[in-house]
Amino acid sequence: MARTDMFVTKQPGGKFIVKNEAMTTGDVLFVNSSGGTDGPGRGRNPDAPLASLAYAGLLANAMCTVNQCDIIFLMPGHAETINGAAGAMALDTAGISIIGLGEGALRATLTFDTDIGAIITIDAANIRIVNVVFSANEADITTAIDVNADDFTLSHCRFQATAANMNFLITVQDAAAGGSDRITIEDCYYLDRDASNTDFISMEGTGDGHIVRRNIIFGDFGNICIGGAGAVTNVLIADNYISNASNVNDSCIDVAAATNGIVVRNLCCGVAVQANGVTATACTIGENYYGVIGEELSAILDPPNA
Amino acid sequence: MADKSELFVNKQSGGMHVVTSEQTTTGDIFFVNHATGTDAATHGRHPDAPYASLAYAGLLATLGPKADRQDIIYLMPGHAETVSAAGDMVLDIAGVSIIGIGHGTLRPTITLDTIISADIDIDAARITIENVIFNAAFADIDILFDVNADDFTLRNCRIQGTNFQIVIEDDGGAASNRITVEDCIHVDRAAANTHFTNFAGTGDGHVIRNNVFMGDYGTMCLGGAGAVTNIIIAGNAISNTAAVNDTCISLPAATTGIVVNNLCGGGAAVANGVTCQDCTIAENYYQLDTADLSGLLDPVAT
Repeated sequence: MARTDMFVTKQPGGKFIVKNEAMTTGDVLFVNSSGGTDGPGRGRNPDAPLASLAYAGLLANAMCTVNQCDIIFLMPGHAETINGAAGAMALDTAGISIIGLGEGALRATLTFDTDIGAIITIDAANIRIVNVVFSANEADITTAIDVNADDFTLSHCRFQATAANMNFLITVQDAAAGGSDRITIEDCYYLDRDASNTDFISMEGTGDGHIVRRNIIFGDFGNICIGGAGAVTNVLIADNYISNASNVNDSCIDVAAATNGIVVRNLCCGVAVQANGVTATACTIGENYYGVIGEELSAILDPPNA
Repeated sequence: MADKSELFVNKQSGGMHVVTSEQTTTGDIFFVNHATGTDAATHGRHPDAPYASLAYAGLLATLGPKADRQDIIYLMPGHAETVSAAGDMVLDIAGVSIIGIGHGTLRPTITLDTIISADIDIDAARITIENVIFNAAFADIDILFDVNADDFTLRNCRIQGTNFQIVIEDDGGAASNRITVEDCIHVDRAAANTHFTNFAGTGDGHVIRNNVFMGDYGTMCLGGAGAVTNIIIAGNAISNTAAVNDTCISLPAATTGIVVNNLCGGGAAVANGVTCQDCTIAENYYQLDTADLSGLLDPVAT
């Protein structure tokens, strides 16, 4: 008889736990800046969590194992700061999921400050971040998340700034060439109208299979909110809402001429004139709309259908 | 004492006590991992002692899952399995759910190779597969899923590689009613491909919704020659490289159901994306992929 996905296992240190193996058969770790301590013997119990994701994520003591789908839970209210290039956070354990617990402002918050080089680098495949707030506390931070490996997923996260003039110029940057296939950004919320911003996701490489869907984006992207100069393949850009304060043409969705895939049901608006919202020449395109902020008119099909 | 929990303590064979969430299933649960598992009767009940293969777990009706108890087989992260011949994997235990654990390329992967007749046979009713990658590693494999029973569900899966000519084929008659394919993604632009679903039979109640197809379907992505009834094709996005007319969604006369809110593009000229004359049709769009234009209502409204 085997009637369960929940197993009683013994942790290092002697505690017994009941674990739902349907969620992951890998290990589960806990991080909380309040009450946590970075050190051996910590992190396996929400009553004795680690203090920082940097410690867990960087494998300072090999708590995570590659490719077994370990989960790092960031506990409600967890707060962590990423301080400049020297303090960049490198996520380099393949297969881990970082999942924030909590809702609203109680979601775990990673704040970037001190230096424009503050950054999170995704340096191993199959890394997933869910339900985390990313907050800019420095002007013109170059890039929030630099993706250098395949199958990175960002889901149900929020991007924001702590004050005016605090901002991420680029939120997510792919790798050159095909070094970061299948980036997925879904169900995220972005709010930062800083006029210096350039891109939400910058696709400069030639990756395959990116998915950008169901995001809500309020920004001021002087280059491109979603897209880039790289000829990516089999991209899916669907069901996003984009409000772009920029007056630059083609700054909502703009993928390279050779990019193929599907661009569908995106609702965009900006300050650029009509017919300059969506450019996806070689993709399957349909039901994307663009409207001009301030005209008090509904958005119209972009590109047109004839 | 009133029952205030869906969690119950049970005793496993071999003596282990486990906590069961009866909300997940009241059936049994099994684990499969090629890296750490062993195909033996004493395995499969615990993630630390899993079966090695789904083929074994799926076939051993006397030792593993049993029919119609809603048993679940979890494929553990990174599980990899190969299907190298016709009938190499026969799923013939009714009511079993096969659920992959993991994300990205760590989702369990089942690779078909060696011969074009390699396939997965769905030979019992009510089989569900979720969160699994199916990979073609041989040219022109005839069919990935040969569905010969009712109520087969494929959910949140990825189909990739070069190439499956047909991904899902129904039973030739009416023996595979209510096939459901939802939230899946298919990426394979091999020009030899013909169908994603080939509905050659006369099944009832198929549901194809919220999928993404990026392929080169020379016959049709969704549809077939069979007059199926009460079909729902909704919310799909299709990018079809083929330049053949009517190769996105095509259902024959006498097919009934609803075809709604599908966005299609391809190499064929406009007005050749969606054909389903006897269905309720609305808000389907098609456009030539290279036209740099938005999809047009297809079929037209007047």
